[in-house]
Amino acid sequence: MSDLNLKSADATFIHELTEQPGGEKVRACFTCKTCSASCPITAVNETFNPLRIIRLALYGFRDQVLGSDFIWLCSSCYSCQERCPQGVCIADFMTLLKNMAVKAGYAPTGIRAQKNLVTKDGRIYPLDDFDNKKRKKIGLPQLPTTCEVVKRLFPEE
Amino acid sequence: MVDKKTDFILIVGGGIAGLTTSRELNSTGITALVIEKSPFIGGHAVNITCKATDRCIKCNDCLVEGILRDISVNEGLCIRTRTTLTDVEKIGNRFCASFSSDPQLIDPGKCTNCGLCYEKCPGVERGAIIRAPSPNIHPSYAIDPFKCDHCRDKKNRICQAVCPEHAIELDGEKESWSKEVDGIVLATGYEPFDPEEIARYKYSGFSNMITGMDLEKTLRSEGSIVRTSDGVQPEKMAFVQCVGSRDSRLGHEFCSRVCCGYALRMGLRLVYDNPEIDITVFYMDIQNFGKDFDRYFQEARDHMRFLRGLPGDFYQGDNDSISVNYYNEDSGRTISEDFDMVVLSVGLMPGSSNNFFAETLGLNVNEDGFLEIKEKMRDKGIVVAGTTEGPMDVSESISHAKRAAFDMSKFLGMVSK
Amino acid sequence: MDKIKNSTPKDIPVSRRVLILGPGAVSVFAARELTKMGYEVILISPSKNMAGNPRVYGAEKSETTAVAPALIEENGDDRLRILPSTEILEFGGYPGNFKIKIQDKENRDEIVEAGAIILANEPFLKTGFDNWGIKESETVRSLLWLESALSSSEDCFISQDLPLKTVFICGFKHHSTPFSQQRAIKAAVKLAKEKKNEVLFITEHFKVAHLGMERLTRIAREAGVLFVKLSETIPEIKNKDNKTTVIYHDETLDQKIKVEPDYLVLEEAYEAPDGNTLLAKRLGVNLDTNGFLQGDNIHNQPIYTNRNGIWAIGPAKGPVSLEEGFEETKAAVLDIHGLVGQGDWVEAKGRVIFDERRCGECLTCYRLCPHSAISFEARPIFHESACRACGICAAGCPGDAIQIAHFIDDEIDTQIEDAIITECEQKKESGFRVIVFCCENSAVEAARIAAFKGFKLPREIKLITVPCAGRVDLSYLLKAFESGADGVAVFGCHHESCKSVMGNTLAKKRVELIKGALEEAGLEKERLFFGSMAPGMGFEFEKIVTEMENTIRALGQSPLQKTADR
Repeated sequence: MSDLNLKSADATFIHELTEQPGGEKVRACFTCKTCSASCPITAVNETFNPLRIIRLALYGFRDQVLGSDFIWLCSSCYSCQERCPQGVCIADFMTLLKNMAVKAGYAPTGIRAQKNLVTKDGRIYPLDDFDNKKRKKIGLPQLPTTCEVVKRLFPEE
Repeated sequence: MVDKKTDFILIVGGGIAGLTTSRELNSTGITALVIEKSPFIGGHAVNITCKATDRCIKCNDCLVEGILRDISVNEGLCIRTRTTLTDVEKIGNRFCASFSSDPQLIDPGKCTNCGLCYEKCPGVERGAIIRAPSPNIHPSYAIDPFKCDHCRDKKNRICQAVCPEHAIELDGEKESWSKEVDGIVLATGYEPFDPEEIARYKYSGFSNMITGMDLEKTLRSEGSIVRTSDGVQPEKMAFVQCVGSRDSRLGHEFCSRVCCGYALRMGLRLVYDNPEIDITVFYMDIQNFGKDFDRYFQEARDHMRFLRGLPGDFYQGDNDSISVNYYNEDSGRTISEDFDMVVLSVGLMPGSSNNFFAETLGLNVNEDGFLEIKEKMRDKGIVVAGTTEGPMDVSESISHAKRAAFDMSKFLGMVSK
Repeated sequence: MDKIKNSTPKDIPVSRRVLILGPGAVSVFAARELTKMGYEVILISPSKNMAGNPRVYGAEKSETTAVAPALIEENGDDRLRILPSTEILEFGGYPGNFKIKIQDKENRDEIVEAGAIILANEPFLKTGFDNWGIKESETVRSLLWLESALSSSEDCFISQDLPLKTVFICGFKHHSTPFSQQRAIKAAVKLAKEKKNEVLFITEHFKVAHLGMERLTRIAREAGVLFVKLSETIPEIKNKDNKTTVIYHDETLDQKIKVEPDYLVLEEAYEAPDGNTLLAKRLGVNLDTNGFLQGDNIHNQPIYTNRNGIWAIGPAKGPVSLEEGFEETKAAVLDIHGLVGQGDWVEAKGRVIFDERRCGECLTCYRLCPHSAISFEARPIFHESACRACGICAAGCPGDAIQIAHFIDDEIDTQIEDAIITECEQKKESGFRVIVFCCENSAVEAARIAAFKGFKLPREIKLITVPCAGRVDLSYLLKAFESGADGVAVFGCHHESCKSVMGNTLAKKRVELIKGALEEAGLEKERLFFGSMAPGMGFEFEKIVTEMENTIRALGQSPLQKTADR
């Protein structure tokens, strides 16, 4: 891995994080590694490591964090959060990072595709004529193939 | 000024701090009564094992024995075991203290520590008569009224019959009594952290997971360490530091100061006893302890594996081993490793009676839950000795207790010209 | 025994004056406590500054400055002499009545008397720029400099443009302490909070074993101080053209991080004062491995030295907090009150018995005494208040002129004979007999614990108590073999834990010496050995005794015993 220069770090990043729900207590981290040690994802995938993400965030490496693939690997099982002796809300923090990543335009393709589907159809699993035809055959009522209300969740980018 | 002839100090707690204070007060001519809730004096410190290898590694165990020896030959001391303080009232310049005492059953004045009662008691296995952890404790034997046949169901009284000194009287009753004292020394000490409070350790679920205190006690009484599950010597051990201390979520935002010292010294002793043993220490930060810390730490690093970071979860492994999940730097993953035995270096927590004293005597407990005595309180005749005030090791407890004795003597006007 | 007479005077004149070695808040506090109690005090310091440096204890200036000036004001009191820039030149006498030659910077010397000595000099704060291969400059600073800069001017460390970057480095080239870290973290918090600096704090370990430190580290983290802990590597510092670069390996990220701070702050090492080596020699006090004025020996814990009447408290023993320093002051003052506060005379205990006619004035006793309890004025004088009755002098004296009460040569000889004879009578068939000389401070205790745990000492093994393994005379060992012992052992303390510093070492040497002689006399050298143990080693005692028993049983009867039986 290449060296990191703190020059490229952005000190405002941590301020932003601590001001939002999920990030308030992240500075309390004293690197005891309990989070990583109890993470089921870290057990199978070395690219995901809650402590490392927290460290990167504390350093202010905004792009390395938000632009990464690994923040999306968190399964939100809350194992880390339950165990943290400093009471850092690590799982909530991961959610915050995901939200910020999306805002910064870093959402991975898969997530982006899912979002497009939901916007378009109101569902992650789209319904089309094929489904309604089958439903009709077995005597079930028809379902709408789009859901306009959901679109309001995603204002135009 | 109080009449010097009647100066009488109450020392609550017969641990190393309480005993040191009483010894020091006695040498300045002040009579002290030490009350101790358990059957034996010596407190937690008396369970510390000597960790000497082929040289002394300054674990302070012998300082404890030295004080117990001084106490045993000092005739002027008054010690009541199995006694608790139930109330204190301020009467003028003095205090009226009320106590509740369980029957002593063995008369310390008559007992010669011959051990015949212990030999003949049919209930020794279940703990009807227990032996003190040190021969320097007098009497070295105590009868547990809840386990003794006679005390329970008036069945037999073998010990009473065999005692050549007629020191045993099994029909004693619990008594309540009170005494006026001139000053109070609070030396109730600390409570070791109960690992049950942290669910992920599953402390009661593993027979081979013990606390540092358990390890001290076992080494002291058995001379070596074996697994509880099968009686086999462990070949691979893990020490987990900071169990209960440095945990702000539990409200323990303090380092208990002694655990690095005891775990590393213990590790060195275990390595000396069995050079093949494989010891891993899970730690966050290693604290300085004693003189020549550099040398001990270096030596420990030469013989043990130090892994920075605390483990996550613990699971049952093969052969009653304990599977420890921890973050492995090399692979970047969390891995599971089996250990024959896991030792939890539990921290020193505030004593459970601190709040009682705070209320009854109008004292403060600090943010960590330890008693805090301001100079003002000392002028009223209340001082604190030892770990009641905060975590400290044996040697610090001794000087702390000497300070308490100094403050108390000063209060009584005994050390001025 | 009219030929033996007690050499020491019955009573010892005691001075109620106490000499305190400063500088620093603890020494000043000790002086104040003692003067309040009516003692005369001489407070000296090799430096000009008596108040010392409160930073040594991790304390803020305001917490301790109040103590020193108040005391110096009280200086009008003739019971208190404050002598800055004064050193100890010569040291003599004994507890209760030391005679100290002191000298001020104008080379004026004076002999003062004191009943007791308190050592409370402060560690020396040294910034290791050299260790890092850099020089102090406008951007590379010591923590002390930063602290005074922070307290003196309002507008430093504030930049109009980008926030300034400050990097703290604690430890690596020396062992950090809770007290230095407390200072560093407090300064870091100030920079982060008030000066809006970006602060990076690089260390090996958080030293949180001190009241409030864990909380302080959390407060610092919350204030924005970023902590980096390195376990295996040390940071690299470069300084060129007044531009500093720090490169370190972040373990959590497993990446090298490069930072170019505006300020680099180095924590100081807390080192023993330079003068300690010479001072220790003059005082006869042992130093620990780091050069502080208290030997690393368990018997010196918590506030003692190898010399009676000299206490080492607080800062003199190494870095401590102010509270601990004050506590230890009170503990020492209580002891001193017990020694010199009980009137002008201390009863001599008569533990040393000296026979002048046997003395060859060879000075062996004077050289050997680890407690400086013997002085020499044409003949040895034994100062009982300094003496710990270890008997090292008695064992070393070639003329057997010195005896220790309760351990007189004749008594020990009788014990040796009794051990052999009784055993012989009881067990004629085997005639097996072993004599073990046990140090009162360790082996005797270990034996007691072993017995308490149910260990039954074989009847053939006899223990003879000695005050210290160093009391074991060459003649005892020879006498034991001569009387027909099949085996002889000396059990003393472990290395570095002898109450008399070197009694165990001397005993070991003597055992080796006699081993050689045994071989010449046709005895197996395995019949004699030295065992070392700690007082708590009950199980080991059992193990060592059993091993010894087996070895000697295997060797069979001593050839000398057969002669003795005849």
